[in-house]
Amino acid sequence: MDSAIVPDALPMEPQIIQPGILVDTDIMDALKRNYMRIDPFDQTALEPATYDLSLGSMAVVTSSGEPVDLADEGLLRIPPYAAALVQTEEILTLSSRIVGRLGARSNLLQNGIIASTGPQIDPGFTGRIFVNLLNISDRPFSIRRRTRFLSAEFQLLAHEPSRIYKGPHQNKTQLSDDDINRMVARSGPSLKDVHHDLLEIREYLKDAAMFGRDLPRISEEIRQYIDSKLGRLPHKIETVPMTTLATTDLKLQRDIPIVIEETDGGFVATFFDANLSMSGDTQEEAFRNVRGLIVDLFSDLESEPFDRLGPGPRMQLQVLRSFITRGQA
Amino acid sequence: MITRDHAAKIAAKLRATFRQGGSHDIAIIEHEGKRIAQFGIRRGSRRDAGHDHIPASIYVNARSALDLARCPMSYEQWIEVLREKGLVERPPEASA
Repeated sequence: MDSAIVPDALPMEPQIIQPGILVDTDIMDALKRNYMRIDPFDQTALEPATYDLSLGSMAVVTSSGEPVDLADEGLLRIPPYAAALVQTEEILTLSSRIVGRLGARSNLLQNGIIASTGPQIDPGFTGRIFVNLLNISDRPFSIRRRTRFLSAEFQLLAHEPSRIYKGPHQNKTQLSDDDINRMVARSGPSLKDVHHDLLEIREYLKDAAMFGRDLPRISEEIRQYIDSKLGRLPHKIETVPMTTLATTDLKLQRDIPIVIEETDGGFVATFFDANLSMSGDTQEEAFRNVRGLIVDLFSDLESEPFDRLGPGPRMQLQVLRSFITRGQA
Repeated sequence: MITRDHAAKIAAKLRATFRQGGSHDIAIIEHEGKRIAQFGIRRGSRRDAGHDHIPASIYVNARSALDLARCPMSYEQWIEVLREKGLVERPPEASA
């Protein structure tokens, strides 16, 4: 590992560059005046307002299982939908007055490679830059060591910040074991798997959409088939509120919802909450009968000692009490 | 369809006792000293008067109610149905 550099101790010459984004001559001036260092520096990598960083010697690809030493192989190959953690050849050293920003060069973007570069390089940082390259294309991507792949923009700050970068990447110049293990240990479906699965799901969705369109017709046909097999007409169901118990000593606190259903033997009126129902030849008779049953059972259940009631009748009495009180109707 | 004849047979099968209501009789079913269910039986001369409300009142479906009336289902089998639904307590297990 390179010897540590203490960026905030760079002996800077008096400022003559204006705060703002550094153009090529400013970058040269900033290097000369120790506002920053780029090591190794190559003047041909200098662009009008940026400096191009090149691919370093070590990388690790998610699909390979071990780091790739580009000093030996020279060529990094990123398979379709795989990711690679790479480092820059250059070591950057920024003083407390310089902030840097990175972007992918067009040679990456044109080949479907996305570079995750982070928001900025903080003042006071020193070390190599580590970047994840994600191949979102369906073709492998190859890149040689020292190929320029990132564009760095530098900015001179108007004032020194109150503190400089002292984070975990300070002085880092090589991939750590953790970096390598994290990349190699990545499991689960790759983007390629996801892409394949999505294509399959699309076909299923088409089938489901077609089925959904036909569902009302199929449902109606099934209903008609069942009715024809059972030889019966669809039964009518109606809900009627019971507003009075038609007796003088019991009062309703609120209406009781009575469901009246047509059956083979006439009609059944049901107070579902209390599981109380009675039959009748007509809707009106069924309604009158269940009202009579409610009145009779309320008094009957109240007259029983509570511990003589099983779970069903206990529940019925509690429900009836929530609807009915004693007193003038 | 469950008729008044069926209702009477079900009441007999379930060892019901009767109380008179306003326009109906109430069949009350007890088990081990506790009232566990009841249902109304319509009065009148028609033996085929509809009683389709009875299955829900005794917590079974129409087929089981008819089974009670026509014999295949016994009182004990009906109690077991209610036990499974938590409407009758399980007998305490014998200690070792």
